[in-house]
Amino acid sequence: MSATLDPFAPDEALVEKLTDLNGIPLDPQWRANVALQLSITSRIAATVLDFPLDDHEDTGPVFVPGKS
Amino acid sequence: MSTMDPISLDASGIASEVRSGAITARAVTEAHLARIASLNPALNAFTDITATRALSSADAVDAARLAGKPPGALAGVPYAVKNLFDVAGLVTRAGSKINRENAPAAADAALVQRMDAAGAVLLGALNMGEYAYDFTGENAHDGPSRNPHDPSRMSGGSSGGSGTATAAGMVPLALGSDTNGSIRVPASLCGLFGLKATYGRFSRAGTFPFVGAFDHVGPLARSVADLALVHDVAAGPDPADPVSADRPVTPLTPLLGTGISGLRIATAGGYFARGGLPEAFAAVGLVKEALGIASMIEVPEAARARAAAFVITTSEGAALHLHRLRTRPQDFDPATRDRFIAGAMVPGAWVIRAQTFRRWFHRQMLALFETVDVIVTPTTPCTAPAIGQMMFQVDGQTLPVRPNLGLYTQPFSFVGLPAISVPVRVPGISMPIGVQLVAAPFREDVLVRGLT
Repeated sequence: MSATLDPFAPDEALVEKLTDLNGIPLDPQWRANVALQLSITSRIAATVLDFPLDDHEDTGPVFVPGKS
Repeated sequence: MSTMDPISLDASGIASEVRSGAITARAVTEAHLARIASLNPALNAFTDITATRALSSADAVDAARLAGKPPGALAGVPYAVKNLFDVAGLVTRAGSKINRENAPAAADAALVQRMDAAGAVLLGALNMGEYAYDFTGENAHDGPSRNPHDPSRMSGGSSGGSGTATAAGMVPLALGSDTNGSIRVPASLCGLFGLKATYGRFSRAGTFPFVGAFDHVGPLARSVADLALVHDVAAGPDPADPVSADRPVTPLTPLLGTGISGLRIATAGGYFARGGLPEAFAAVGLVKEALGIASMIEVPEAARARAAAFVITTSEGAALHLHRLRTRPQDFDPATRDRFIAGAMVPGAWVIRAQTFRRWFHRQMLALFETVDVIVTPTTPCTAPAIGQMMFQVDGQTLPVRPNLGLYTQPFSFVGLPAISVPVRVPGISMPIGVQLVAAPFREDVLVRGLT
């Protein structure tokens, strides 16, 4: 399978764009590992995103007005 | 004066001997400081040693006893804290290079205050994985904390120094923090008891955060009685921690060893019966046999729970450190830096979805606890790996060590459930390994009834 067909394949160009967006100066030596970590996170997140949740399911944590 | 060796006693034993006058707090403190001086250069547990403070605290305990005042439940008990706890006069480095440029803490963390008020004697601050984003106990700035059972192996993390110091007898107990398993993993790898109480049970005030949604603090010790002692002294409401639980504490000490009669205890199958080495399941088997456990339950969607915890952790951790990532990423430990940077790239919708799943999973766990009181799982999938080891073999697969050390702990801290790691020795295996006991929220009591 080519890299472009795998949505989770490490993508160093994407990492470049997103570090720019975040204002993080990226040493080119870190780029490959950051791309690998983002790829791992994407793959893991997919299992959560695939899970059907009711639209009325609440999202924690609860914000309590008046409590600091 | 007794000739006993205070190093051989647990905290409960030390407090008892100090209260009775059989030994002075100063003698106990001096013995532990000498042990630290002897062992720490090789094991690298302590990053700061507070000897002057310790001797002063010990003398105050001895003076109180001589004056007929109650010296406290932790009278003369030496302890140390992961270096993300504020200690007045010390810089709270949280395992980092960057934070050691901060001003020294002006006051002690809430838990340190409570421990000291009970007569405990703080000996110093302990090594940890940078910013607690770690399961290994390794640290690029301070060097790895080493496993006293075999110094070529990991202590586990991120409360690595807490595991090392307690297992080596430098202190009878230590405080650590646990976001995804950082108390339970070093407890397992170092052969200790570790308590991650219910989310909100122990105050986190005055500790450096990692992931507010999951951060817990608590003790590691060589006996369950010592976990109970710390719980009974230091747990409880604190308005200074926004997630502190506003409910009374049930003391655990009176419940120790009262028996498991009437408790529904089950091992967990599925996710918790795979992904580990045989020794992890052998340890569960030994506990199963010892407690006469006949039933097995399934934790619904445990793998997704771990996945959701992973996503929230990396994103929330990145948010906490974003300004440091923007200004000085080169000063991070490379082992945490690249994961924090990647965490800053996670879409917000993914994180919210993971938080919504957390709500769903919490409800499933509460339903499960209608049918069972204690769930038994391995704490870690393996005994302590070698320091620097990156991969391990499980079920014919080669997997990364770092994230997988938290395989079995992460789903429970995700929803704040109380858990204890209990040390087990598996015949034929040289290193210790832990078994995890998990209960419903605020039911720490059922975790200790079968333990002595």
